[in-house]
Formats: sequence, structure tokens, C-alpha cells
Amino acid sequence: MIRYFLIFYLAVNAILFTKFNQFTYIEKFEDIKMLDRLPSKIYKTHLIQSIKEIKIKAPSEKSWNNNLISELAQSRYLNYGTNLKFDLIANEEYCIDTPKVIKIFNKNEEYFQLSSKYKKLYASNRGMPKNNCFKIINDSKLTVNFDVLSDKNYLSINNENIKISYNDVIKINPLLLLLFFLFIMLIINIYFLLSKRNNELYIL
Amino acid sequence: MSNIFKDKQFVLLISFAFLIRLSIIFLFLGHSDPDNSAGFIENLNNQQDPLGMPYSIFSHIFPYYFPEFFKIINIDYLKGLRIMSMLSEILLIFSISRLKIFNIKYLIYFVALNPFLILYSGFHGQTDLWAISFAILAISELNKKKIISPAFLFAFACLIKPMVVVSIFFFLTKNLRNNLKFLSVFILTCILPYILTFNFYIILKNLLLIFNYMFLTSKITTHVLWIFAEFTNKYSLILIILSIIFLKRYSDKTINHFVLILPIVILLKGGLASQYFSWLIPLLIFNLKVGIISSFIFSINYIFSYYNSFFANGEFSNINSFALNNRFFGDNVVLIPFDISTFNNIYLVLSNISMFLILANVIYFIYQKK
Repeated sequence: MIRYFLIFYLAVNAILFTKFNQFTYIEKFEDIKMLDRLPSKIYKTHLIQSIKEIKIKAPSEKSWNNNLISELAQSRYLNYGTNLKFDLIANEEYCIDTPKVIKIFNKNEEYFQLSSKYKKLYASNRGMPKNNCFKIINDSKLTVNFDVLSDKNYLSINNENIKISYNDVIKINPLLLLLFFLFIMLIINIYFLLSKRNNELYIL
Repeated sequence: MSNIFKDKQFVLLISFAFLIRLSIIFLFLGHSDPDNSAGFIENLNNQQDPLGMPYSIFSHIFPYYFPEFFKIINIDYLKGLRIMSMLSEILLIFSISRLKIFNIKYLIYFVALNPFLILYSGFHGQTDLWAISFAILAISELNKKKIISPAFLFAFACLIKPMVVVSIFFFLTKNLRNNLKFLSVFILTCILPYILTFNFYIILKNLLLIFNYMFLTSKITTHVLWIFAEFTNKYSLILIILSIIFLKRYSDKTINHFVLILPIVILLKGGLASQYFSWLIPLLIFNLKVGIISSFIFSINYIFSYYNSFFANGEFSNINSFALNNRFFGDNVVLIPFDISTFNNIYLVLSNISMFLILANVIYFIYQKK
């Protein structure tokens, strides 16, 4: 058995090496700010000054990535909950603030972006810029996705709060659904495990 | 082993267990934790700083990178991670069966029908069970008086979740030569992935992150509330060390030590994220019927924990896990069925009941062994 796990371990390490080998590393001075607090006599010594000149290779900073989220990943966001649609007029700048995701599309192009708030949570660099603003060239449609019915859910377009109303939408109470699931599982567990008096089912 | 698959009822039940997990994976949006790892993997794929997860560099590849392979069959990363979690349940059955304590049929029934594990794999897709399973595999090898293979498998577990490293003391004996052998293989297995990055910055930053998460994380950043946490959290490190010494004296079986230390860490740290209930699974398996009944209370607590970030910080990240697939159900929104004070009261009571239940399970385990 151990042989298979060893091969697996080596395979994982091989992928690890390949992945980290592709990184672009940038040489930079590591600013160890703690050293600045040292008494000036010690701070000026050769040793401390030489530490301050240590250069390290760090991976390149996260940068704005223009790659749009793939079709497959989009399904994760737009195929759950509910989507509200709005019309956007050409050659205007829009600032859209919402908790989850938006999709902007017209005949020529399609953008799919995480909102800046969600992007932060997702640790992704694909998403709306910090100020949530962008400009469109053609008349477009905007889709905003929501999952949760709450007063705290919000949508603001150009600093104007839009009142969100859900028409013809199923409102689900997952708590009841999950408690029902637990009840069913309890009955199955009672039948197959808890009702058995003979310990042979459990212990060798 | 193959005989049990001739039992039609058994096969039907296993199929049901798979089906219910897959249904949750494909019908519900799921927990936001995998969103986070998806972001890190996205950065890894773009050759940009992927660091941020408080787990070792090795775990960035296994298990976190592996769900990327599911794209070949058109399954996205976040569903892939949850399917991987199902595989970790299978490894758990395999590893505990190698201890030769339990009937394999009981193990399969327990894991397949456990409500917490269904929710854990269905909604969450966490990686704790991988680490626990590898640690138990290491113990099963140790029982065969081997040294190298347990050291390697235990290192594998620590590389996935560094938290299990507290159990290392249970692998050490009075035989210094064996200890030296164990530690050499353990350290070598742990450092190889770091060496392969060939980058000092990545190594240092990753180790600092792990250290910060393991020792400095306080209960403020966590989900489950526990009334004794005010006291235990401050001294958790000392109390954990004392518990290790006590456990070594109480029993000579490594598996007993390992099964008990995980719930003890949860109790002493005083408030940990809800997925850490998975650390209790070995204890619940050992406690038979008491363990099965406890699983239901933990599951209710686990479900409520999804509402916590919404009421605490106004975040939708976990509560939107319950959003249904609108291709099958049409447009839908999730209702929040209580106000903040009702939720806080219920959650406080439930969390403390769960913590007392953990304590009860620990006491029951010790009583049973006596």
C-alpha cells in the first residue's frame, strides 16, 4: 500500500514543482521594518545594514486580469438563485455596486464579473475594479444575481439605490428542508444502525 | 469484503448515500470556503502569488489543485472539490478498517448514512477528512511495528492540514533510535515540497501563515460559541500539552490518543469553525450509538452555522449556499426564517449543547475503554 502512496506523493510534488517553476519572480528588497526600531548605534552596524540589503525573489504581484471567468465557472454564479435584468444605454459610464455578480452582454461582447466585494472574498483578481465603474460602447443588458432574500441585499446603479423586487420567484426555506432531511436520515439510521442489538454489526 | 456487495439492500443503501451527496452537490450552490480556494488556484494558474491559505504548499496541489482535473468532464472547480471530499470519506473507511477494530459493514453504514458527513461533503467540500484519514492510516502502520511508513503517512496528513501535527508526540516512544528514524522520515517528507518551490520567500511566507493560524488565531475569528472559551482559549497551548501528557499516561494505544486529542483541541481552542466537527468523526465511530445520535445534534448546529456570518457581519457568503440550481427549479431566493435575536439565542444554546456533547463523548469513550 505504502508504495502507491509514495508514487502519489511524488506525483503531487512533480505537479507542485511544475506549477511554481512557471512563476514570474521579481527581485526586491525585503523591507524588515522591525529593524528601524533598533537603537541607532546597533542600527548603524554593518550586520544590520547588510540585513537591510538582502534581496529576495517574490512572485509578481496580483494584477488586474482581463481574462473573463470561464463559461464553466460562470454557471457557478448565474445558475443559482435568481437573476434580475436591466437595460444599459451605449456610451455611458456605469457604476454598479452589488454583493455578488453581474453580467453585461450585447450582440458583440459579453462581460462577466464578480462584484468588488465578492471578488475580495473569492481572493480573485477577476472582477469589477474597486470603484465598480466601467464604460460600455453598445446598448447592453445587465444581469445581476442574488441568492438571499434580505433587507441587506442591495443594488446601486450610478449611486442610485434600486429597489429590488422578486416577481414569480420561488422563495425557499432551506431550514425546513434540511430539518426534514435530518428526520429522514434519523429514521434510516434507526433502522440500519441504532435498532441493532447485536454488537456483531459494530465490532469485529 | 466483496461478500457484502452481494447484499442487495447494502448496495441499494450505498447507492442512496452517493446519490444524496451528488444531489446536494449539483442542486445547491454550496459553501463559500471553496470559493476562496478557487481564487488561490486561479492565481496559481496565472503564475501569481497564490499564498494566503494557512496550509502547507503541498496542500495547494493536493487536495486543492486536484478538482481542476474535473474540468475534463465539465464539472467546475467548486463541485469538484466537494466530489473530492466524498473520496476522503472512502479513504476514512479504508483507514479505520485497517485498525481491525470495527466490522467493515458498520463503518460503511456509519459514513454513508451520517448526516453530518452528507452535509460536509454535499455543501462544504473541506479537506479535514483527508488529513484525519492519513493520520489513522499512519497509526494502523504503527500498530504493525513499522517506523518508516507511519512517519511518511503522518507527514502526508500534516502536509494536508498542519493542525494534526499535535499528534506527533503519540508516535514517539522511549526508543530513541526509532524516534530518530521516525523524525528523519517525517521531516524529509515535509520539507521536500518546500524545497521544490526553490523560493525562500514562498517558504517563509507559508510557514508564517501556518504559524499564525495555528497559534495566534483566537476565538473571535471563529464560528462556534462556547462559554468556557474565555478561559481555555488563553491557555489553550499549555492545556493541549498537558492533555497530551495525560493521554500518553492514560492509554498505551496510539489510536485512543489520536481519537481523543482532536475533540480536546476543539474544546480547548474554545470556538472553531463548524467544519471542525469532522475532527470528531473518529470519536463518533468509536462511540457507536452515542456517536450516531450525537451526529444529529452536530448536524443541526452545522446547519445553523451557515446563518452566522450573515447575522454577525451581514455577509451572504455562507447563507447563499442554500440557493437552488435555477436550471432545475427556476428562479429562487433563500428566505431567512428568523430575526437576529432569535438566531443568536438558538445558536448560543445549540453551540453550547454541541460542546457539552463533545465532552460527553470524550467521557463516554474513556468509560467504554475502561
